[in-house]
Amino acid sequence: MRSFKMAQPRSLAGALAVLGGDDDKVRALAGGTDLLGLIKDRIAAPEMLVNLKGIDGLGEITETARGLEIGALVKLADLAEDARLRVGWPAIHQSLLETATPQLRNVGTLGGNLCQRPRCWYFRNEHYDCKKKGGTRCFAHDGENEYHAVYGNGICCIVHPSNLAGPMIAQEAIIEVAGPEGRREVTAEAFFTSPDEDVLRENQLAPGELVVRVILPPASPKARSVYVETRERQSFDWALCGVSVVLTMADQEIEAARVVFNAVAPVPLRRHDLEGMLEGRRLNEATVDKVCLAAPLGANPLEQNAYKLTLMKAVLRRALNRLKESAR
Amino acid sequence: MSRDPQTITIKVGFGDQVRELVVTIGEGDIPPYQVGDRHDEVGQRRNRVDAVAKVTGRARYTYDRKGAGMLYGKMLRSPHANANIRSVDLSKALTMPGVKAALDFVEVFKDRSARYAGCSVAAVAAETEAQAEAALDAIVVDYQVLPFAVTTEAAMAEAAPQTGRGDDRNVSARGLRDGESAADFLARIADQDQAVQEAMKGQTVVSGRFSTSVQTHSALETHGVVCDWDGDNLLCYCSTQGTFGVRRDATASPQLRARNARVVAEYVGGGFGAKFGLGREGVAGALLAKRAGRPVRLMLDRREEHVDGGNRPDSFHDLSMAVGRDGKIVALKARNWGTPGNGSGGAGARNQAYYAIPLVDKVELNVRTNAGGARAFRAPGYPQGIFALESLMDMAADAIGLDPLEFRRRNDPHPIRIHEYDLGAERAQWQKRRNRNPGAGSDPIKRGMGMAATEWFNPGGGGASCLVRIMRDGTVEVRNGAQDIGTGTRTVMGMVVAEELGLRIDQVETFIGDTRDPQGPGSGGSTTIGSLTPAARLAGYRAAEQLLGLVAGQTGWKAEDLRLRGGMVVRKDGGRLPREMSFAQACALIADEAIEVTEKHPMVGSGRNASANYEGFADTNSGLQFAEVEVDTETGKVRVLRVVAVQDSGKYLNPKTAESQIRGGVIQGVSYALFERRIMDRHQGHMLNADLENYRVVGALETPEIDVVLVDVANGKNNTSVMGLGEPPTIATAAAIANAVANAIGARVTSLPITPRKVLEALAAKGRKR
Ligand SMILES: Cc1cc2nc3c(=O)[nH]c(=O)nc-3n(C[C@H](O)[C@H](O)[C@H](O)COP(=O)(O)OP(=O)(O)OC[C@H]3O[C@@H](n4cnc5c(N)ncnc54)[C@H](O)[C@@H]3O)c2cc1C
Repeated sequence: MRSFKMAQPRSLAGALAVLGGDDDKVRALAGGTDLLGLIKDRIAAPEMLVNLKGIDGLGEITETARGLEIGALVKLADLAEDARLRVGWPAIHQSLLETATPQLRNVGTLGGNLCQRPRCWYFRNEHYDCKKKGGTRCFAHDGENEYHAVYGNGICCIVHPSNLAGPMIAQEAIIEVAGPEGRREVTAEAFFTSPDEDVLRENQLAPGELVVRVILPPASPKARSVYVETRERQSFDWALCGVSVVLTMADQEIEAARVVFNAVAPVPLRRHDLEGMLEGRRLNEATVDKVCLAAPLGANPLEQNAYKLTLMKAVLRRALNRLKESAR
Repeated sequence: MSRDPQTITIKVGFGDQVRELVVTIGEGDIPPYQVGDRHDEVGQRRNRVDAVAKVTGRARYTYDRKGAGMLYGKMLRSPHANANIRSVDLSKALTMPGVKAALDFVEVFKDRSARYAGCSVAAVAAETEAQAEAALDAIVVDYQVLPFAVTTEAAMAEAAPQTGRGDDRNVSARGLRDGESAADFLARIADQDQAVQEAMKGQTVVSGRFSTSVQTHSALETHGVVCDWDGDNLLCYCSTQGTFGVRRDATASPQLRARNARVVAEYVGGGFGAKFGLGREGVAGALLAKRAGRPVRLMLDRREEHVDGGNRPDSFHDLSMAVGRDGKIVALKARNWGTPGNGSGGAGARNQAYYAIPLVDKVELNVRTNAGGARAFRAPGYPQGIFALESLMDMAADAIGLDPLEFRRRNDPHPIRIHEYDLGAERAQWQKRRNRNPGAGSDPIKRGMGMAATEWFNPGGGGASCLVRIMRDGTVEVRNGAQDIGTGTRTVMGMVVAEELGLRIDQVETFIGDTRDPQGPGSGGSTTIGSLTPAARLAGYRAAEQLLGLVAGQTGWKAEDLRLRGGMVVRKDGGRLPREMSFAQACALIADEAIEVTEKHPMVGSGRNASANYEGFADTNSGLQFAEVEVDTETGKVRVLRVVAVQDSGKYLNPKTAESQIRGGVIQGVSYALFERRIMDRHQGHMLNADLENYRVVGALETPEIDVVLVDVANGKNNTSVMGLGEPPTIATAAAIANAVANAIGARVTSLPITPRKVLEALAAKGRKR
């Protein structure tokens, strides 16, 4: 593994000061479960890492008037154990339980999870100069693409790797960012960047910016949420397809719906069309059937990944059925 | 004691199938363990002797050898799927910080070809790993880049680029004509066997195309060495399955010219057939150490291990089987092809195995590709061939309306397996757990059960010796220089000696994996236990004889009346001795430091006709596996709930380690069935999943309940009556799982691994047919 220098700032201001503007040269290090792999695989070659773990105040979960505020350095394992999250934001909680492995969750952080780079095996292989690395070609598009995107795959076929990204959007999280210019807030939905916008990155962070906190606004008492995913292997694996569903119920009727798929597109795929089909309906078998049938609408599967369309129906059906049952 | 061949009568067999055989046993050998023998230590469930060292991390593997003054060796690998090397320039690398030596493989191995991406082309040794890596970047290689074909399909295509060297063709097969394409050849020979064609007429014929994927060995410890020289003498720690083979390679190597080599592999982190010989990495490690005048550690990383550490070839099978009305197989037609990559071996798939098949027409094609070469892999040719054959067996049973178990029984000539059908059916609850209505019902989760058979043939061979040393203070050492790759070799070697000395396994010390100790076999072909334990037992027996001779001399008792048992000298007939004498007291009579006995695996006959084995109950050891699965028809996910493994391995010397061995085989079989496959990129020819993330290996959550049923058979083929158990338990697993999946969902996945995608596609195809 290539050597690098390491900065150990004690404060956020200190970290931001070293980070500067050149992402390629200076990179933030949280748990390192993603970044160190990228360096070992020679995909990233930073000269300096800025270790965030010494910064005070980024590792707490607090309840405030705005909701649940989660520091970027909170470990996934700790977050998964938080009772407030489990009760108030079930989709996020459930997606955490399916994230990576206990060992990785003990090291990986919330900020790192949201900012991790894609797992596409062409991107992660130093010998492929793909678009995401500044090259001119997407090798997956007409190559080995069994695990790749079935939506939004025209330019680049990655699927966004984060389990948390989808439910964060479904549960309307707000991401607080700090940079040289100060702080700003972005909705989770606006945070992730699709390849059409900029193929070189996966989120809106400008060079030198950090995620400092995620704010989960209190969910409506009428809301119910769920996360369901499926994968090839249960231990140590990524989702083949996942879905987060949040339904706000008025009596028996669905007042508002949010449906976000993950692992099917370069950014979590929010499905306004399906939400529209759910809203104003009762959550019964007929509704479930109808919505599930429409789940793969608009997909553009590649040579080897059309099976993901079936998986979309399957996870959505399970998610809706689970909400239906919990309503009883 | 006479050392002439002796003709004796032995009792062999199991259960109520016991037979007397008159056999001539080897010079100086003792009668095999046989039916009715009573043992104190042998046959007990003993923990492996190195279990604590392994789980506490005290055991030191080659990978753990790191010491002061040691350099790190690293190899440079070709980024091209097919290339010739024009030149390698090391000059800049040699000036890099920390670099102490560098090798140009064109010069070292006299090889200008780099026929797959990841083929090694140069190496360096430096003070730190990072310095070695940086130096690799400074090596300049001039490649002549050639077109490539990385998959079997691509290399068989009409206008495929040439994948090999010289004028080697991509496809080789007996009868293939010059210039003939694989497709034309297959068409030409389609009906070549008249007898088979005739026999198939009027019978029920089932046919299918089956395939399996390339599986990499993925042993936890990668290949590699730590080498140190003392003058012309090489000390080589090596993660190997054959310490003596590595020593032979080191002394025979024209590059190394070691006068003497000592190879040490006290612990080995797994080996499934890919770790014989010194290999390029071993030669490079040793040569770098020689050039640098410092010890060098050169271990492959995970990526290198996948790409260049060997693999099981993929396989494609076009099979047809004809079955008569009586449920007997009439004939089998098989066309197979697959790729050993750019390795030298064949792709050979065994699918004419086990069953009584009167007529077989089989043609096999080997397809060379621009991918890492195949090496022997736990039962080479079997899991893939048996998956195809056993899938077809179920299809045939279905076609004639016979229960698959009953169909097999009717065609199975193996005396032990015939007994195992009943045992297994009962244990697995075959009648009850079979899905009577595959695919039916509204629950998306379907259950099913399937089965398949296994067989192997290794009672061991010559080439093994064992040293037993009884010290005056009562300590006992048992030594052999071969390796224990995790199977429990060390433990059973100690147990058979302990038995002869009247001790428990924890009262003897075992030493293994150092070529300073007596010769032993390479651990391949399931040969180790059958080769080694007879030598160990004999050495233990002779050592006991010597000790009892001393006792007799001192006490005036008759040596032939005595034996060692329970830590005491006792009378063979159970009578009382005039006074008690413990093993330790007996040892105190030793005048020298120790009694030392080295014995070889006894051979019958001599020269070319020498044989290491006797006539026994059966020449092969047999088994059956039953798998119960749950298939989620919406997500395509298969869960293996339970595997019942019924296994004969001759005499079970230590049921506990034997069960472990079977469990390991089943676990690897589940992995092969559901997950493992090498994925090659069509654009640039790299292996895309050369890691343990996308190259999925079964984990704890996918490991089913494994119910092992040991069938103990006094086989009599050697003095410990054992048959090898390394390979047989992994052969049937994938086939049994595939059959269980078909039984669950009423659609067959004909290709391994059985991924969600394939399950969903099979279900969709079934839906379309309706
Ligand atoms: C085998 C394996 C399986 C996995 N399976 C899953 C899975 O199923 N689902 C899933 O969601 N994830 C999975 N992961 C990914 C894992 O969750 C992430 O690696 C982890 O969450 C990253 O957190 P970290 O703190 O270690 O990040 P790091 O590796 O430290 O950082 C990751 C990236 O984020 C940047 N970064 C870190 N913190 C911040 C911050 N506060 N602000 C801005 N940028 C920041 C870093 O610069 C770096 O580029 C898996 C990983 C592995 C290795």
